Amino acid sequence: MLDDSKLVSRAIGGDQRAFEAIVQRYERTVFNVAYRVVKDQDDAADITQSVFIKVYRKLGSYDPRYRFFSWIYRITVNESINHLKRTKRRAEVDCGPEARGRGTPWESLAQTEKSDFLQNALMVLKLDYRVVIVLKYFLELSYREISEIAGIPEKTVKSRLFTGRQLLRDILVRQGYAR
Amino acid sequence: MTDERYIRLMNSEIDGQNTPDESRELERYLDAHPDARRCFEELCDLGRVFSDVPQLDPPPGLTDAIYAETTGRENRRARRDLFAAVREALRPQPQLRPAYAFVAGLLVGLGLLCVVSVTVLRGGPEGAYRPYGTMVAEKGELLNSQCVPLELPELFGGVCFEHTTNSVDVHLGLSAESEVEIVFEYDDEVSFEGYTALDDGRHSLSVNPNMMQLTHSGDCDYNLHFRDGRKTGSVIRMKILAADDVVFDEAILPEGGGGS
Repeated sequence: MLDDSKLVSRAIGGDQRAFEAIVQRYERTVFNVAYRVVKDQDDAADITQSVFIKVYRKLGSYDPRYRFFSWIYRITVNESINHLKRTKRRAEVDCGPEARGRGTPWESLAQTEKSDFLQNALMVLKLDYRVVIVLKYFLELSYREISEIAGIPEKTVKSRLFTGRQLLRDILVRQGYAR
Repeated sequence: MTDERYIRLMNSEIDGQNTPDESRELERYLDAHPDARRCFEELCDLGRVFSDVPQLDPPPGLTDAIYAETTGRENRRARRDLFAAVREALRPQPQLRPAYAFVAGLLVGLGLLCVVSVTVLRGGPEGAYRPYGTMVAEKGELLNSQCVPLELPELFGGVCFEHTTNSVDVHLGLSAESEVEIVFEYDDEVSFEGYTALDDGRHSLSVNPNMMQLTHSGDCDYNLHFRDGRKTGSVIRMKILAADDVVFDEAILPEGGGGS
């Protein structure tokens, strides 16, 4: 399998199959990151499409000194934030999982319930914290990588992560899922 | 209430950022404060909560929608479907065999007549070619050779690419009633060196850095020569424009297989 840098240089050279390989490699992750930030699958699909159109058009301006995934995730985060700003959507939190959650062990929940529950908890977090938590936990990135993607200093990544983690833990405890 | 410093140490511990001394200090603190330990374990559990949540599948059709907006693969697919339909419509029918033979004979005869006329008018085969620039003196080792049929409503013929370790040679056979633009795009490693053409004079050439454009109408065969500084071969993108519409767009890879 070709690494990102080879695929990117081929795509820049006009190899459209290389670009399609990039889409195949990142589409699912981009979609999931967008979904975890905006909490709407249709919106996440629109964002994913915008991300790849931007990547395609701006491929020539990509600086190969940086990691490609940082660049594409940065575009994803920015597109997701801009989408939320455009739609001015409030965090819509479904109270259902809280009611269902009390007294129900986490392990016994169905996968979709777990996903919905966690998503609702994420939507309670402020956007700044949510982005950092999503990058840390869903993509398992380091402070430095998150700093590159979110465009904030590592120190800020750390403090947002700590606060976000604490808030998320409080939500889970309140809803009966943490021990 | 857990001290601010220990909350920071807990988070750093989860992220694997603590020094051994800090880890030991945290452990001592947690031993002495059961509430703090509980809080720490709850924070640790977040990782488990996230890892339990499966990734969602993007909706069906998203990939095609992305390709349609970027590489235009859907358009190419539609075009291939159209060609398939045209081919099917033109499939030879046994009862028309005598008519096919007559038309084929007529075409061969006309072709021979054209070649003879051009040869006579231009003083032999040498004069029939219109050289431009220089053709390759010594070709490198052959990397790959590939041909693409051109069966477009605006144009009929074919193109063959021959990638070597120091050149790309393109052999074009074109038949078009109206004027079409054949555009070759390439990066800085590639430069257009020269060409020969056997034609009736209805073509012109425009050469720019990273691009060569051939304007063509009628029937003609061309041999184009590009120098390639990349030993492993370079990608050449070929586009055909008819009435300003892009009707063909392929990236030709040195290792074979037209990029779409």
